[in-house]
Amino acid sequence: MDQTAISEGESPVKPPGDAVPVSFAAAAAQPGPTPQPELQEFALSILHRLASLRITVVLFVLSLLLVFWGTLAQQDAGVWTVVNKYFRNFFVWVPWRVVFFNNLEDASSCIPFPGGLTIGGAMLINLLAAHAVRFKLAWNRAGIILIHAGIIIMMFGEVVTYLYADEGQMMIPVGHGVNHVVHVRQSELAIIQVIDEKKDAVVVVPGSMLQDGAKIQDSRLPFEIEVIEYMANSKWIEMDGKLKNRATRGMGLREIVKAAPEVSGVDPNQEVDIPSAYLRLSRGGQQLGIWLFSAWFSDSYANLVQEIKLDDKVFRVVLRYKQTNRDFHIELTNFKQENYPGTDKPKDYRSFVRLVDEKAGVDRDVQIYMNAPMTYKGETFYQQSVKTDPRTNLTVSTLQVVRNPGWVLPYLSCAVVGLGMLVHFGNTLYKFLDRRVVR
Amino acid sequence: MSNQKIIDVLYRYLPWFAVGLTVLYFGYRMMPQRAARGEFNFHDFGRFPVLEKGRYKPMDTVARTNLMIIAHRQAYYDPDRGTYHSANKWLLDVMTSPASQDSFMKSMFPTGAANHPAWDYKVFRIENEELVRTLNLKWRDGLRYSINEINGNNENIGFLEAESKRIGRLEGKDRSLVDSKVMELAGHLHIAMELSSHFAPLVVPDENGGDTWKPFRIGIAEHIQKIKTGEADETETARVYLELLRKYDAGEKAEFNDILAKHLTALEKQKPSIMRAINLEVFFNEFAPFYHCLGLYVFIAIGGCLSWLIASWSKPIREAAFASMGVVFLVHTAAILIRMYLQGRAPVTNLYSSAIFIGWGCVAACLAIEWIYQNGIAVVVGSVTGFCTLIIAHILSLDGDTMEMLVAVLDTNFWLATHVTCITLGYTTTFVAGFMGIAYILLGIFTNMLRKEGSATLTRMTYGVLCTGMFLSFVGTVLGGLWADYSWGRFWGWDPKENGALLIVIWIAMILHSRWGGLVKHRGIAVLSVLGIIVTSWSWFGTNFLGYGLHSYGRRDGAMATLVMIDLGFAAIAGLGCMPLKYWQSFRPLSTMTGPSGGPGPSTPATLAAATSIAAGTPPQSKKAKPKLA
Repeated sequence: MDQTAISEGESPVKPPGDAVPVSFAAAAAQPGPTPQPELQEFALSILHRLASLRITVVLFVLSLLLVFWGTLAQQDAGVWTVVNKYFRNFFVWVPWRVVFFNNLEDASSCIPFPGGLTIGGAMLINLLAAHAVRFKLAWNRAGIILIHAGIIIMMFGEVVTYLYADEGQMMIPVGHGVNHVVHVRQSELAIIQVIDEKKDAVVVVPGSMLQDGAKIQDSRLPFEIEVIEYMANSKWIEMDGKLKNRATRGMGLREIVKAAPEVSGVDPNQEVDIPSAYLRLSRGGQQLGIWLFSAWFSDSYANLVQEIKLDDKVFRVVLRYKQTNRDFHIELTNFKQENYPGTDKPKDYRSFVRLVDEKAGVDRDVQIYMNAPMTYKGETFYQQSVKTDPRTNLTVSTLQVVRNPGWVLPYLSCAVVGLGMLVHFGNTLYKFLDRRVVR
Repeated sequence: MSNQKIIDVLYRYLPWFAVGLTVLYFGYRMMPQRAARGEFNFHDFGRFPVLEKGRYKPMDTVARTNLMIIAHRQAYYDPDRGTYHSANKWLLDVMTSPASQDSFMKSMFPTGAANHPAWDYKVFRIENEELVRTLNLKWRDGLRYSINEINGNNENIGFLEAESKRIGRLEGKDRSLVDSKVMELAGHLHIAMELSSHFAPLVVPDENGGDTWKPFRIGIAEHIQKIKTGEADETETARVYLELLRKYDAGEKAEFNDILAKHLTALEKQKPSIMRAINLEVFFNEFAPFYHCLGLYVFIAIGGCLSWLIASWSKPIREAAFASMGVVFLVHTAAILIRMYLQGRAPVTNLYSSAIFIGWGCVAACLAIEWIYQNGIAVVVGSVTGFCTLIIAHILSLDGDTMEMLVAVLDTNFWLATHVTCITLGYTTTFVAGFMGIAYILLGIFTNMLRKEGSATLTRMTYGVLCTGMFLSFVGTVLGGLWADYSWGRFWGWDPKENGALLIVIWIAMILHSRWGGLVKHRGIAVLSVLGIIVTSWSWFGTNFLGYGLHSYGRRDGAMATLVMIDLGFAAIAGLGCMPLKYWQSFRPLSTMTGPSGGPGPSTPATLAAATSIAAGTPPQSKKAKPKLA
């Protein structure tokens, strides 16, 4: 879920979620109490139509196309862009290029198509209507009812994940402790005023507000911002006389970046986007110049600091991945990588970490490796990758940090559907064999 | 009278004869190949243990897989003399043909350094006509050229080097077809050079018994240092290996065999467990079980078709095909078990093993279906799918060692055994259902076999397979989600491979719901099942060709185009199935019916009999009617 508001501190308040298809689906499944018999009949006939298997099949075909195009679209765009555009959306414009298996060069014209939320919601209505009018609660229907209940749980689980799950990363150099989680799919412009050694005042502008041409004014900000260009992904390139540099102040005078296509969903190296922005800053009509801010300069990469002085106050401004703090820290005491003998192919890599939570009095050593995560305070920490920091030559281990309150739903759904299929198809098989014996 | 008796016996025992013949064939192929007296013992040289690409394997596998990559063959064929030689001979010749600038190796193998026997071997396969012209070569049947030919006037090697440097800087999508063929050839030459300069494979074991083995080049250099300091031991592997290659270089056959035998006997005592696996793998390589299964599946498919054509012999022929399919299936199973033992893994670890496992699953499912329905259709479908998947496996094996090591996240037998096996068996069911759909369309259009109950029977078979497929694909896909949740913290990531699996689930759900809603009947299910093959092939291969995702464990250049061509073929068959029923042999009114000979009037007795055989095949009337074998 994107943030859309300026906020103070690291954890901005989330706006209320979008409408969930469950609500209107339930309304459709339960026609309101109507005294008139004609109206009741009318409602019932509508329900019958909604329950049609034709609709089911049409919805299956639509979902096939959506999933297929949503896969092809990942050749040109990042997987999460595609997910938000195709699957977690009511409506999507599918480019002709994607419709024709990425064989067309023209990327401009599109066809409208129902998104994942529309198709999923419609499936739910269709399913509930079918159960309301067609399926009687009977033992020989138990299998089907279980299967469909499991599917509903699974769809519900995906909605819960969409609304409440949170993914981030902890990048920890060997010998260091880290207490914040970085969310590489979201950026933020942080304006940090150093008050004293222990305390910073931080104002954060979410990256989603940095739309090209947007003007951002807020009493909490020390200056007004006008977005010249925001790049979701960028390349840090060599200064070249031929390139027109838009920056008039700060590091942008020496460094230059260029917009790059988003990292593709099928990228072999699974790299992440590195955003940059050219921003014009001003204060009450006084021009402060055009500045280049980039995640390249943030502590995730080059760790370069840009300061802006205003009335004896010093503000550090950085475009960075969204960060959230934890009240515990994780220290990487050691990292081991084991390769298959005689090759560079890793067989196993594992982080030896020390989990310290002073408030709770926790201090323990844990090993995190592939298929063996650590869970703490509702979050799960997975071994994701490892790299060597070229500046410090330290091994940096990246842990994937996930909070998903709905994690149990898929497990539940799997059990329910599996059982349902066993009952249903088992029943069919039994009847089939039985008939053969009778013959 | 006696003739009649023979025919009676044949009629009665034909299935047994088929089983006997199949067993004999496999027995013959399993017999170990021994070296001729007074010749180099190439077979035993193949048992030399090495460490390559992360696992212990016999030299035989190194020779075969590298020759497979370079020449697309597991043996060296000499086109001038028309003779075949073992891959081990090719490897030995490469290893004793040092490059002209490699003075270290030249000092060791003087004969090879003077003659370079391996440089004349026509093994390097160049299938691109433009590249052949660029290198000033003559287009040749067999497409294989020697190093000396490729080098030509001493300019080509430099040209290839410069080109591969240039192309190496390009991104995959910017490379032309010739570019990728240049890279391929340069890679193949590199393999040969690495073998000839002894940087690979790792033959000298770790002195401390660990995993850090060394290539011969380093091992022998260290050994020479030890000779200088007087610490050298003559039984050290590097020394033995040197002696062995020198005897080969000098053409001293008896001495070569002698050194080899002594060394291997010692190894059998020192490392019995490694040598057991090595010997098994050499046996497996020489037996080549999948290759022979592939051939036999063709005969079984022909047998199944014959059982429909020859009405009076329908039953024994069908049972014979069924019985020998059972035997081939046992060998197929055993071969998969041997691979599992050698790898210490669940059956499916990469694309290659998924192909042989899908083939296995198709045959297993069809044996079960044939057991129930006894109409020959499952025998044909099973052997055709078995054949097709093994052909795919064969093509995939051209990439090299099929028992490669797994990346860290896949290094878990639990999930490989559950999720991957379930998904692969799910693919199996959609393929079987799809080929049954093809059988429905072809038999319906060209024969009378779908008259009476034939159509309903075949549809019932397909429906049963689809229901199983629904269960396996769904459970497999969800298990994959649970694995992802367990390993990465998210159940569903809309990754291409995950989406591919989802497509199969939705596709089968769509077919089943269409049937339940009465939107499709027999023919509709057949057509949709055929299209299901396209959906499955997308999930199996197509998603891998999109680029590397989290799941991609195999990718080949130009493969997407091949996939599209094959899928168009299946789409054409499905299109054929949409032809109006009045043109279908099985469904046109009987008055206008024609026999397969094309003549007017009622169909020939053969087809009528066949028609009854498939319809009556539905349920065996009693226990007696069950096949005697299997």
